[in-house]
Amino acid sequence: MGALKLSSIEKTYPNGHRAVRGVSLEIEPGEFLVLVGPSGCGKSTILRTIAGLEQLTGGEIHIAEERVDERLPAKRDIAMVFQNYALYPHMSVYKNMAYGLKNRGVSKEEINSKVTEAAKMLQLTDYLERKPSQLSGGQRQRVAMGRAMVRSPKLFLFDEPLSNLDARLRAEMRLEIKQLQRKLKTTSVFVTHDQVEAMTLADRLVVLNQGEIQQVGTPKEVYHQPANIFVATFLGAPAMNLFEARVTSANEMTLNDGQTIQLPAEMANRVEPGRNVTVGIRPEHLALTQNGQRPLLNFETGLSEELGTSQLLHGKIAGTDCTLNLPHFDQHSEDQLGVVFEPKHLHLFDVETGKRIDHG
Amino acid sequence: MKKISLIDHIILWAGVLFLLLPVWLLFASSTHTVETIVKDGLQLLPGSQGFGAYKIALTEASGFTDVATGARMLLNSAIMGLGFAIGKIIVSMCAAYALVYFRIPFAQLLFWIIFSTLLLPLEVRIVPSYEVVSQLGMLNSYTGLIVPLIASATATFYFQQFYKTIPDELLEAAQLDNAGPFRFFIDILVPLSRTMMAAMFIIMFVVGWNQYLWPLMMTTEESYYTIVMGIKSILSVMREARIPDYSVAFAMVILSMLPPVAVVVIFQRWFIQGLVDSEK
Amino acid sequence: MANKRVQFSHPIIPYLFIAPQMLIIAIFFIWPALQAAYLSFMLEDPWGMSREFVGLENYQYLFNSAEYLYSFGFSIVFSALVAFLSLGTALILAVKANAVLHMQSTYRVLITWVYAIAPAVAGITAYFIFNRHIGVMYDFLNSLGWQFNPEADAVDASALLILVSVWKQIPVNFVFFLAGLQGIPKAVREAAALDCANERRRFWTITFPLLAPTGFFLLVINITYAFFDTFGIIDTLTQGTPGGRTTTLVYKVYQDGFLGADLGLSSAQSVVLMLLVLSLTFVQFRFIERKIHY
Repeated sequence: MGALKLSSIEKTYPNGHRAVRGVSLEIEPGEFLVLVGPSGCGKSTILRTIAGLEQLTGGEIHIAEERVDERLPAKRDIAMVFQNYALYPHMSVYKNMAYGLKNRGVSKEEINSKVTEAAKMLQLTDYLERKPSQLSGGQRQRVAMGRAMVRSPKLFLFDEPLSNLDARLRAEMRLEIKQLQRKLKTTSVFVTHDQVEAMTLADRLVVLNQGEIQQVGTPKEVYHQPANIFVATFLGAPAMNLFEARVTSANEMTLNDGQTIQLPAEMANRVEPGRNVTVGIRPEHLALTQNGQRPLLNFETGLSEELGTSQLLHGKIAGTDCTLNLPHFDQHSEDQLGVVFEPKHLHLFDVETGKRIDHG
Repeated sequence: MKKISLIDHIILWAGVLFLLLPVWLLFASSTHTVETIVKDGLQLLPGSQGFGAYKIALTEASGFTDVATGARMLLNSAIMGLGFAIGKIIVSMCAAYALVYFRIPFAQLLFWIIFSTLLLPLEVRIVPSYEVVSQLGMLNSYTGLIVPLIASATATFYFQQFYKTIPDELLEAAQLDNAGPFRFFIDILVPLSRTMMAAMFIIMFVVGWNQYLWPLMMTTEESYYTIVMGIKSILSVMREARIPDYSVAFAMVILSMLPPVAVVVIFQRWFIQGLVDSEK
Repeated sequence: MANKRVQFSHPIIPYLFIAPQMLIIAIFFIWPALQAAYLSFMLEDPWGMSREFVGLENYQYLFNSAEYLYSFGFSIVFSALVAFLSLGTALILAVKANAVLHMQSTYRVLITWVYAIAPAVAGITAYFIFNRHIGVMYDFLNSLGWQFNPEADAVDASALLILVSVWKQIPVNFVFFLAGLQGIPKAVREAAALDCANERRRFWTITFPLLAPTGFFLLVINITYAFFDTFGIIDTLTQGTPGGRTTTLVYKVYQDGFLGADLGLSSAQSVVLMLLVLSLTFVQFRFIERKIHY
């Protein structure tokens, strides 16, 4: 029983640009799904084809088991929150929310009760007679939400709705959207390029690049077991450090400059010697040696940046740029430091395909 | 700093006086007797006659034209100005809507046809236009006065440009809200265009009111005379070397300026916006 | 044409919306325009009884007619002078109005109101003021020793036409120059003030080049105005007198076609004018929009 099902959907524009290349997805009722990826990855196009604002050039879309990709946007029982809110500037908040209901022939009393209820939930009761221009950014955002809510649609679509807000308000609204969705239990698809938004909001995350799905999974899965180099470097800030290496024995790899790394225990004997791999490790999983600890790798220090809660230390390992995220760090004058890590935090990727080399 | 500013103000006042004085001379002279004007020429200061000449200009049909009073000609001008402005705004808003918001085959062709109207101002195709209107039996009618002037497409381009600045998402939101083409036009687009309509209205009203050549050719019945063309009869009196009732003639000229000037001064903000946008 | 991402598609509705405009254009523009083109190859007898195809004869006659060639030259000189003088005056006023801190909007109203006066009304106003019988300016100029007589002297008559045409066009130029000046970002003005202490030099090296796009755009507008919209001024002030020496091309179309009832000749003139407007539009699109762009 999927709430929304995309079956190998395709979108090729008349100019030949293939924005979406065979994307298939199934979304459970009540699920909060986030589509994330760099700009131009096709995430907005997917959302707009679900809404019916763009025509598919291949594949099918089903909402609650009914095929909808041939229907007009208004007949798909969906609601959408736009990036710039797309509020009708000449209508009051009340009328903005009521317009879609009015056009569907809903009775005055019912419109009134629905709008009042939504306004109460969104703390907009005092602003119903105002015009959008008289509202703050956050309030406009709520009106856009309200306009989607009043129709009680089967599906909410969010097209980067927080990107016009300043950082603080964005964090607040993020939380509000999440709480609201939990309360309403409406299946939602949310598009963003912001990885923090993606990680915090999603029940499941879909990482896209160049019109294709890179990985689908919970935020934890995607963060800790990235399916390929793209996903590994796209999520996480600062990005995962990557090194070229060659497997030299059953349980050892060698970097460009001859330094060696032990393969994680569970990976031993799984990668044949002689194979070239890309090794990844996240900045927060690297630490400096303490009290005479034996270093695993040598680190040439560069600049450091203070973040408040932690520090970033930039430098090079085996001639490759590398960043450490350290909880506390005292200025060192040495230009060589020892670095340690736990082998289980290493990620291995195939050099050619960029795909994760898994423990199995 | 102060000195420079004073020079600026002097230059500006020189410009203002250059623009203002000619009209002031006529106005001041319109309050003098004909004898004073014939004897001493135009007057710089208001005279003793007050607004008597205006009453005559408005109410008496005699003088320059035998049927049309000043009031009647003002009414005709108002009909012409309003009809032209409203007609043009409605026609061009609709045409621009079709061009911008619909996927239509030959849209490019339609666009170029509309664009081509800018190539041939009415003054240039005046004789064949007159022939067409006369064949249609529209001489001496308000329709004949107004509709042919709407053919030029300036306002269509203006609204087309404006529609393009309206965010795409508004139409998309409206589509999700189950609004079809008519509903979107009436409920969203027209209310959003209010300031633009006002700005365009000011410009078009002035353009319509100030038409001279077209009503001159179109109207032979004096009951259709507009005030701007009506002043031509003052000239024919003078060219025949007769002495016209100067103060009444001046009053007539002032009356013909008054409504459009008032509109431009009162709605200055919209006027500036309309002027800047419509010429682009 | 960059259009909307999403559009309606419907087999009938868009045509309903565009129909009124197209109908009016077809009847009152395309038909008369084609008529003009057709008639320009015809010779019609003065009573309109018979017509005969004469090929390019009308055009040949035109370009061999001293009268027409004179009005061609007159139109060019006339519009160049009107454009230059009106643009210059308006630029000075706009720069000053932009510089003063007080009464800016008052000046704007006091300068722009003239826009609302019909060219014909402007013409008749000037007629009174420069008239032999009652005109104060007539007396004034003659008292200065200038034998001012627009009814007999072509130069005087032309000067008078130019004066009135300039007067009438100042508001439009003023509005656009002021908008152009106010469109110069404050940061640019401040940077210029730091880089260059001399105010006059600052105007010619910073402000004036930045106004160039506005200026060239206005040049086209002004030439179009001088060609077409001065009809009312000419008809009320000189009617082409003395002896056709103040006849512009547009006024000649009217004289030959309507007063002279020579349809073929008048139509040929319309076609020539249309080609002129076409090239002017071309210049506006190609040259100005491409070359002068910041």
